Amino acid sequence: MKQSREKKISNGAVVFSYLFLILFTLLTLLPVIWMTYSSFKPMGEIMMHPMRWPSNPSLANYKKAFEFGHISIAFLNSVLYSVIATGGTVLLALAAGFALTKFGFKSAKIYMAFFTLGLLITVNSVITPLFIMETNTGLYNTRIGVILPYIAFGLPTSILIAGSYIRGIPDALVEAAVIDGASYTAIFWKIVLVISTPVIATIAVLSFLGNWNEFLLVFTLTSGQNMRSLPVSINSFAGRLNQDYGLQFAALVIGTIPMFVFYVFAHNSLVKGFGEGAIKE
Amino acid sequence: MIDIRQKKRSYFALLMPAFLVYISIIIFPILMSFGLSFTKWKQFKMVGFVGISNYVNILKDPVFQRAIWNNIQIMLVSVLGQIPLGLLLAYLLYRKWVKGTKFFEMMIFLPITISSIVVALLWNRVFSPVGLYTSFIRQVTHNPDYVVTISESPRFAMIPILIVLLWQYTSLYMVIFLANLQRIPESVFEAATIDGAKESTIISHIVLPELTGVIFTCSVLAISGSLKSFDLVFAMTGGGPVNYTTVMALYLYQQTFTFSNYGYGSAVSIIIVILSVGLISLSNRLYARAQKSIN
Amino acid sequence: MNEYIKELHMKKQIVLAVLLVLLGSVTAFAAGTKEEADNDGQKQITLTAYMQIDPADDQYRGHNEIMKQFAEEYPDIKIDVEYANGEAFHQKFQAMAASKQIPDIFTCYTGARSAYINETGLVMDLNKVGKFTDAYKAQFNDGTFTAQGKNGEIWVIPPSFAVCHTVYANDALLKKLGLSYPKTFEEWKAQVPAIRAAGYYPVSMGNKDPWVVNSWLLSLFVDRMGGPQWFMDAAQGKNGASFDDPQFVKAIDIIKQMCDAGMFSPGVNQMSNTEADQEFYQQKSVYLVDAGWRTSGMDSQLSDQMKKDVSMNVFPEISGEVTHNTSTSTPSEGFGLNANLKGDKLEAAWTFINYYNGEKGAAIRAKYGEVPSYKLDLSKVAMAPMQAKFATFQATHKMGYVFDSVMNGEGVTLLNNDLQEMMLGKGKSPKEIAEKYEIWVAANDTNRSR
Repeated sequence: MKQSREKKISNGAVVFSYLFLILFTLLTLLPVIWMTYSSFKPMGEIMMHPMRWPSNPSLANYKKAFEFGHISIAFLNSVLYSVIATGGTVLLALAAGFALTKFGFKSAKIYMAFFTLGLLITVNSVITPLFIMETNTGLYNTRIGVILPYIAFGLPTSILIAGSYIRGIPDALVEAAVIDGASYTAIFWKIVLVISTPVIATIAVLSFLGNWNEFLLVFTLTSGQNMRSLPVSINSFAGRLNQDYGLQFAALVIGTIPMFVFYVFAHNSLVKGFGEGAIKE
Repeated sequence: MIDIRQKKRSYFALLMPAFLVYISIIIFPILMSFGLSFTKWKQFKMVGFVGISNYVNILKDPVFQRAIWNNIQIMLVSVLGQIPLGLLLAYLLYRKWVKGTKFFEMMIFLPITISSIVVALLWNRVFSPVGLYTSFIRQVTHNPDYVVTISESPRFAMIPILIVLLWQYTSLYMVIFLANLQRIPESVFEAATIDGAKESTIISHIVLPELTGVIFTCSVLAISGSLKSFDLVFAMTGGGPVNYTTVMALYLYQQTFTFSNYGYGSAVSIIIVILSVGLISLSNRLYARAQKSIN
Repeated sequence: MNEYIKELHMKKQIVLAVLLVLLGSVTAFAAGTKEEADNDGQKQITLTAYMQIDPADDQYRGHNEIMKQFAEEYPDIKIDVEYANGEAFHQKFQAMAASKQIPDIFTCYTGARSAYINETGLVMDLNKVGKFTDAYKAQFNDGTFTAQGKNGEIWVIPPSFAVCHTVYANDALLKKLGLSYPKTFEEWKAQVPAIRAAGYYPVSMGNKDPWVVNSWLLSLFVDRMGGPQWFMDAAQGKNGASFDDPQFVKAIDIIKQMCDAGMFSPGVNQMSNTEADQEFYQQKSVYLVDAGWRTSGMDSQLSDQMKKDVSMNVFPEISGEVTHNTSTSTPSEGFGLNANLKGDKLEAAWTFINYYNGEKGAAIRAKYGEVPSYKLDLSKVAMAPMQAKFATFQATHKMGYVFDSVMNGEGVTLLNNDLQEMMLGKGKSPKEIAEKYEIWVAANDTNRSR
């Protein structure tokens, strides 16, 4: 494979890239496509003829899902929980990330290690004490009672990612603003947040993802139908002794679409943020 | 100019919200767990302090030892599989050598938007004895008794799970790498190509050094994620058959919620934390060394 | 660069403002939605309930109808139900129990499965509430009022019995192969080569979960080889009985013999219940080992012809067995009451329990195929075909104990793992498994301390 002197790359590399990407995409899409068209089949047909295109495509599963899963309110709740918790996580993580990388205090290392510790804690291990705490402080079965833990669990990863990105922002930029008389908080709002668009998008997408599909916390910390999120409502279709795959697939398609739409939009802003060439010397 | 007091105030103003939320929701319950880990429970009542005997019993338990080994397998696949693959995908997309990068990016990202329960369900339908893969092989080899025997062998039972994990999480790292690749100014690439630099040089001299920090962060995420692994394994195999695919978080779940050995279960969570701390500081040290050698 | 930054900065401000507004409104939400005041003025009593039921599952159509009927007949009693499923139900309930905040009515098992509430003083002893006179008890089938707690407490009135061992057979296939349902175990083993030669699998069983082989096979073998009296003695460590006795070893050995004879379809240990059922429904196998409650699913999924062809049987005769033609069953889970209930609320809750388990509730459930513990003349009820077979099945076989209803869960799970490993052709011998289990039981099982 010879490299030409102009800005062209070798054909081999292009072929390889295409092959690799297409293969990966196919592997990714096939199971999802299967799940989607299966959701239009009744359970019996899914089990007996798994691969076939639906013989009588019907919306029966979707109807049942909406009826039994109280999907509309669950959907609204999922949106509320995910959006607000994500917003909170982004804000708090970027603030902390900025504080811990650009201020130069020695304690920053300790705080950072402390937050990293949070990566290792599983929801399972704190759920019982958390439940007891929330019951005693009256936060049980409230939306705040779900949103705060969502933010808390999203913080370690987000602070890590934010910190690593902000560290890469040239110190000169911050120092120049300081010299100009700006307060650090002003620098945060007006410079850091603005420049960190790609990483904001990354953190937002990751938090939203984790929160949207989360099950255990909402399930344990709420009890009312009107507090339920989508995964909890959907899980109620996986009966102990009987599993209606068609119904579950339908509910899952309903649940996955918003997540994907969100990603498409966040992705657009991500690309835009870069495309304008935000960072130039 | 800003005086040091104002600087300190801003420091805390920026740091405290995150810190307070974190402490109350995560740290406090963990401390409770820590306390509980030295107790023994019988019949849902705490019956006494047993010192470190919970810890000793856990480490002696062959089931837990298998769980650790399974977690390590997941970790290896994550760090040595998902991250390099993610990097490769991000790089291919970033260099825009193919048309429709946006399309590819969106499609590859799809698995992560699906909850682990669904992923498990999907892939179970592929690998199970009545699944797609099995029927396919049976037809091809004319052997009606074929099953995916890997799942029944203690050594290799994790492999189907590892494959699914690779499928699910590689794109996560792809997205992170992509965002960070985009931070490298386009001008640098242009300059290098005009100078006639080969692709491999670009990679080793520009991309990798820029990304070491991110690679390290991703490794930390991968390690911690591997040790916490629960949802997918739970939904795919439940730890079975026998205990071949159990992982530490599953062991924790079983002890705490199925058997109600609260003290014992708490000790398991603390052990997971300790192990993770150990592994992460190890990688910290390796990273520092790598940094030194690059500089 | 400054121009650009200013522009982005404004966009950021808008986004942030929106976020803050959202955050503010959520506090309003959070405060407001906790209350669900239901003051109709008049003496309406509201009870909270937490049930391990899936209202979307066909199996629970009877339950849904009962709830509706009850609401119509008793408009002054309102029941706020939260539904949950499977393990998640237990997990959350345990958290509730830990903070001593449980609802008024809840799903409760008769034995160790619900020990986290019935052995911590949270469940009311129904002996104190209901007047369980002999006349009252006679309205129900035998075994409904067997003591559940250590001191004879009754936590729930089981609405029905869960039969945990059935061998379904596809009679049409059998006929086609020139066979009939075997009388003895040896006969059954001898059928295997013929079945396989014809291209079918002999027996399907979904042994993926860590309780199946215990519940559906071992329990039965224990009953056949040891008998109910021996089992109770071994569980409680009385009369010199223990689990390393030859009866128990033999019971485990039968499982091994089944595997050695190639009776199961391949991948038995990887198949979920649903998948094993499908194998049988699609006529890929001749027999299916499953529980009695599968019949309601069969009624909705099988073709009419299949429903005629499938028969319900028990394991054939095993040489040396001490009981014959038996199956196993356990009182199914029911609704327990919060020990703190008093006065009006207690009365209302008891009314509900009576309704559900008594004549009215039983009739509704029977309509949908459940065989209730309340004695009903089932010949008057129009039952679906498989359910009718199930009713006959329950009437014609004596029932032994279900192993995992009696013994502690942790030990049973460990035992199940050993059994699965044995079925894979690895691990310990039946004797070693029995001995290992006995050691665990002697050291840990609460039955031994009764």
